[in-house]
Amino acid sequence: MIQRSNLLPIICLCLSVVTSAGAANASALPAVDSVLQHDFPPQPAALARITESLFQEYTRTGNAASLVFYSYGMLQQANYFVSVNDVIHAAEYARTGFFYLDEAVEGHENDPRIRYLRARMDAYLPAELGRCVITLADTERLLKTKWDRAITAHINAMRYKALQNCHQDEQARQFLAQSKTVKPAGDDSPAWRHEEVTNIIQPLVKGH
Amino acid sequence: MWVEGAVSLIMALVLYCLIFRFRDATFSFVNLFRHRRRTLSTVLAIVSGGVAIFLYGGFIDYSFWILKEQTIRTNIGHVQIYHQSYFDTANKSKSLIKNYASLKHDILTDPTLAKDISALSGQLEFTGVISQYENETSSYFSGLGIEPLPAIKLGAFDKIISGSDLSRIKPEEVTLGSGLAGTLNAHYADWLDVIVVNTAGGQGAISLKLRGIFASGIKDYDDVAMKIPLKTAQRIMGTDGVSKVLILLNNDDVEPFMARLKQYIADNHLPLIVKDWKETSLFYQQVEGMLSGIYFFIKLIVAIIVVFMIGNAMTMNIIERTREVTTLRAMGLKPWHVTRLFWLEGVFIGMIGALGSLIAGYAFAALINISGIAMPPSPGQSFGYTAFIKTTDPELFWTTWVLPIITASLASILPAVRASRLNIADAFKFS
Repeated sequence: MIQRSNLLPIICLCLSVVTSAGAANASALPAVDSVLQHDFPPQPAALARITESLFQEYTRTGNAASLVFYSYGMLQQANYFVSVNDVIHAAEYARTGFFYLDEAVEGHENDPRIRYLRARMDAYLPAELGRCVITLADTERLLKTKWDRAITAHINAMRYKALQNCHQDEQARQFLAQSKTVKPAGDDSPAWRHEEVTNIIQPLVKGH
Repeated sequence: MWVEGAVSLIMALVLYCLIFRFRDATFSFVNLFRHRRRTLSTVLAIVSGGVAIFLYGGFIDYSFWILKEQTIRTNIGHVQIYHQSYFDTANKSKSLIKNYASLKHDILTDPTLAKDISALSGQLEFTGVISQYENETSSYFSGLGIEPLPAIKLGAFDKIISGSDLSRIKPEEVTLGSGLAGTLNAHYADWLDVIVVNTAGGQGAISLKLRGIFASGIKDYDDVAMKIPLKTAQRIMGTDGVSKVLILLNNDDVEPFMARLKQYIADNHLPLIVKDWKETSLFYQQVEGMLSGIYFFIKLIVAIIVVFMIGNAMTMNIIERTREVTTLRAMGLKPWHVTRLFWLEGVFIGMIGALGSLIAGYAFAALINISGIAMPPSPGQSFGYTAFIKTTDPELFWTTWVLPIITASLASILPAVRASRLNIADAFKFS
């Protein structure tokens, strides 16, 4: 089951995707495009509709971006169900969200951008959800890929946060000392940066 | 049944008085305000008891509901299908449902069954020894081969405390119960070696990667459980069968669905039997029995309190109003008429108390439900839950409404009869 506080960071993350990625050209994926431009709607029925259309879009196109955004939609719905004390739907939707988020990565093992999106989600979740171990594995792989300096800094920040969430405090301190580019983030997911939109989201949406 | 009968009788009598003896009803009602303090204290006592009934009733309704859902959604399902010899043999490999894939297809394409099914998954049970050679640890395990996608719903209350759920893409990756993972000192992405005795009696071995660690809250289960994708489990065990089929429904109409499923099995001459979740959940039955017993005891105490409060208030009323009663008798009122007047007073107090119980109970419940009540773990479980007061059950409202009225009505009978038997000459004893 998911506690009320656990999914709030997800909302911040999803909102920040929308805010910063509004400029992304995503005409190939109308549902993803719609979310990028207009945000996930707060109304439960509309949220369910757009989430369902994201899944249909994934089924139709096979584009992993649609699947990732579908996962975000499911997690948003889980957050809504937590807010109305509907623990059953909250648990089901959260698990479904994480299931498809994992499936998006595992179905595209060699695409580091999908892995980046998962790490971006998992790193800022509450520690009790236990996703930090996945973030540590993801960031370890991501750091072996060649990125520009700004993206590498983000990955380092995610790794540092994951080390903290996994209660590996000594390793976190060492990592902070070694990686001069790490800027420790707060508990909430930071807003998406321009370099993330152009290097991660836009290429995925365009299917490159 | 007798409760409904008693309530109907009381209501019929009150209705009769309101229609045909309106002056009597008005007289009795207005009399309540002659001794406001006494009436208020009696009503408050009834309301206190009524609120206790409403809150505890709502609390155990929620507790039953969450325990039921917790039972169903930890890989039990609403309905389970077994081979007919499943409960006759300890060797579960000999009681497998052989043709699972076609059975699943047939059930999911049957329009009378499919419309109610939310998730369906085969489950292959097996046991063996699991080792983490790097830590030089081994342990006995109880394996559950399940389908990853339906397991999202069927195992929704298995809390993942590290890593992920099972995957359709990574069939060699498994999840372990928190106790078993602790015994093995195994962590996310560790490799584990599993040895089993397969369905043919031979040995099977496989290396599996730990994908996640879960906690169902049931310690005995978490200490031995390993979840593995069904296809992998079938490969290790050398079978395409399953031990049972779990079905999660869209609704709580288990009995009609079971009847249709049994009919389907009979029509197709399948060697299968069907059980519902309650039959296989001894723990739920025990908790339900215990909480229901406590609830009955609380209702009994409240009923006794109401009987004594009403009886006491009415008796004092009669003593203080002896002159009035005897004057009424002297004016020609029949004893039955006097009885009715006093009895109606008791019924009206009961009704006001019942109404107050519902209003106050609902208000308190709304207040409590803002953040819920943190409950400690139940016996045999490792983590608690947040309880709420469930206020959607009509039976709860019915009980809270009926109990004060019935007890007040019954408690008023004796003092009312006593009033009617007062001697007219007693009036002269009072100055």
